[in-house]
Amino acid sequence: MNELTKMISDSATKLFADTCTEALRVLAEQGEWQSSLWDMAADLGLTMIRPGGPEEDPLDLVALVTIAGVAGAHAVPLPLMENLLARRALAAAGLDDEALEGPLTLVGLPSDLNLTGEPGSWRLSGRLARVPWGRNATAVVATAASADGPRTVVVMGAQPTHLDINCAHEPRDTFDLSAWPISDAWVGQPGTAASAGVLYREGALIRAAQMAGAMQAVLTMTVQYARERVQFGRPIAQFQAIQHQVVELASQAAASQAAMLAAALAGDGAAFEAGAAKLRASEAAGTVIAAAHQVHGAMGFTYEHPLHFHTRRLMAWRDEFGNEVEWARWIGEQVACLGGDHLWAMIVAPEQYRSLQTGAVAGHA
Amino acid sequence: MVSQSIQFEPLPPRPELAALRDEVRRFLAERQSSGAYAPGAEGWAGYDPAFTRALARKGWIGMTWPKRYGGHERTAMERLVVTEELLAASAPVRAHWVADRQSGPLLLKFGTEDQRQTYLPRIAAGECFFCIGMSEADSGSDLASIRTKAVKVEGGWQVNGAKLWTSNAHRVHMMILFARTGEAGPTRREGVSQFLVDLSSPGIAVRPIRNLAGEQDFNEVVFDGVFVPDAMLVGEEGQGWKQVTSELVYERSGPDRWLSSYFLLRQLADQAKRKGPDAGATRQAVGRLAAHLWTLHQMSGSIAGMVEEGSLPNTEAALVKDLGTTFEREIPEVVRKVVPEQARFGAAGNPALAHALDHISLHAPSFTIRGGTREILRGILAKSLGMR
Ligand SMILES: Cc1cc2nc3c(=O)[nH]c(=O)nc-3n(C[C@H](O)[C@H](O)[C@H](O)COP(=O)(O)OP(=O)(O)OC[C@H]3O[C@@H](n4cnc5c(N)ncnc54)[C@H](O)[C@@H]3O)c2cc1C
Repeated sequence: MNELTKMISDSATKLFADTCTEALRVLAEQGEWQSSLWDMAADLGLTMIRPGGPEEDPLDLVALVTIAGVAGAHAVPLPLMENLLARRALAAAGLDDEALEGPLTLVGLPSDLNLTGEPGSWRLSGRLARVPWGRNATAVVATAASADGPRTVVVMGAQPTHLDINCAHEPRDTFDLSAWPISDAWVGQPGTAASAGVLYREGALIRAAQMAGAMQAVLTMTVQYARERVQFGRPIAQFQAIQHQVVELASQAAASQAAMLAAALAGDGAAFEAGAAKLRASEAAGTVIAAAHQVHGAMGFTYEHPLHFHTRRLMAWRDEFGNEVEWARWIGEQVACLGGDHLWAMIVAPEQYRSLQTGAVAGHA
Repeated sequence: MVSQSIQFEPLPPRPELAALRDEVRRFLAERQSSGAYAPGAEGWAGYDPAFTRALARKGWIGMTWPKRYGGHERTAMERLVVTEELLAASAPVRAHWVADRQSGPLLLKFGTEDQRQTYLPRIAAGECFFCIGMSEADSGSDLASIRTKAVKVEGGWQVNGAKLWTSNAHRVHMMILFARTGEAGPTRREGVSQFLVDLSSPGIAVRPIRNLAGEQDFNEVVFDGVFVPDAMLVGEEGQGWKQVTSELVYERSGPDRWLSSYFLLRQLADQAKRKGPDAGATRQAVGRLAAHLWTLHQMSGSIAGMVEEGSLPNTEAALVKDLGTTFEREIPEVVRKVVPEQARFGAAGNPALAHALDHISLHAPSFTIRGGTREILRGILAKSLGMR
């Protein structure tokens, strides 16, 4: 972690620890947009991160997963990461996002968006499904098929045709577009940077990082609860059955954390690593949710106890941007191309095998 | 202080290590094509002193030790690269494994100058092999309860007792013996010491114990009035518990705790190339295991990074051993389901996979026992989380 990333992470931690209260999360779940929290995040530079020096690229993946970890650990009810990811995609597509007021968001599910027409009269048609925070966003970044390949597009001003939520009550909305006019400024050049696969796997990596943060928070809460709750005259932390469940939770959290950080360090284009990190986190979440709730007993099943702010997010996030089975299939197809002789070489140097890592994920071109 | 989370900081990719990986791979390919060894399901359990000496000539034993003791002053990360490559290629490294992994580092840390000069160069040359004399019949997980006793006599110690499950005792030269030398004290961790024991000493009897696969790999080692000279005491008398704890970190932290079943995973990757009714399930299974393997590789790298910085990552080692051995045990369970008998032995069968599956299934139960059971590891982790 470089100095700048650490600074951003420290200030984000301080902000969210102070402001992201249970009361605020409840209001957000009831549908109230947390504009003052968004503004405070913006004041800290968390909504529009710009290079801090000649060699710095704070929108790099390590910086993004660091912020994502903090956001996940505090169950921040904002599209903080969607906004940053969308901006990163725009930068990659050569589109200038600085003029765009946030929050931006990006498409959640693979879309069948089509771009037709020509400069001056571009039109978009198709469905954008499970758009995180779609109703609150000023624009949705997506990938559209066009006559000369996929292009990054920015959909502005559209109203959702269907409102929905995930099990953490985060908005996941649908937009149906039919010959929606789009200005030249918001159509990227065709090229690989714009492939839907890139957006999807970066989404996967960021969710993995939010999940790792959430798992750390769940671990802290669970250890604390086990040490405080007394039954049979002693803290339940002293029962070995409880200890071993908490240890499993901790191990799964540590593995998820290591995987997502390694994937981020591997840099742009690290498709295998991002998929592996999301697989690892999604699989870990099952153990983490189960162990945490088991240790918390009935108290953890109440709305009053804050555990659910994290565990419900884990329930939702483990399925978003590909669950563990989808990513296992995707990685498995690459392994099937390589066979046993090259498996180990791929594990220790996935960067040597990038050409294999372009296939479809969850129906994604 | 209690840390409520255990964090692994993966290291940034280090392309400069790629050349070393390639060198190890070329060496292994040559050994295979010359018929010196063939990769098989026994993996790192293969015992081959000639192979060990060839590795020593390459400078790949005692890699991180000072040159004055026959070492090569390479980094922990470089050692990890070499051990990973050896294990992934199922190289027969068992002869020197214990000496290189833990006995040598123990002597380096706690041994006398004389002990270091006598043993380390011979270990690094692939000429002196070690075994671990910790467990006994009534002392497995509860290591502090050992009853093998070393009593002070003129010029040395007299040892009586018996060690059990001692891997390789029937074919190696030396043992690091863990014995009681005094009162256990209220913690039971006082009054224990470690000794270098020459297994050819009079009074030592090594009795083989067949394992469930029918092999002779571990033994009972009986000490009947064995004399051990003063010069062979390792470290301080009575400080054995602290020493053994640090030795166990070396024993637990390496890739030998997540690559024991790799040969079978490799067979599964070959099977995944095949088309057929089981192809989808096979690919999904191998894809998942590949992601887990990659994660463990990252975590091991992170541990090597901590060792390089001079820390002794006891908790992290226990965590990776628990996750890693669970992974090793899971591989045969997954393979037997996605490659059913028909796909193993039918017309277009895969007998290589089938035999690897049998071998690994038979050995898998030991993975979560040897080197400290899963339950003991979880106890260590619970403590570090502040749960006990
Ligand atoms: C293949 C193999 C090779 C080995 N090689 C060596 C060697 O070279 N040198 C050597 O010294 N030893 C060796 N061992 C021994 C090994 O270290 C022990 O088997 C291990 O420490 C466990 O001891 P035990 O077998 O006596 O089981 P026990 O300690 O009797 O345990 C039996 C079961 O009870 C559980 N248990 C015990 N205590 C607790 C507790 N407090 N809480 C919860 N559960 C508990 C254990 O986890 C285990 O599941 C080897 C073992 C194997 C299988």
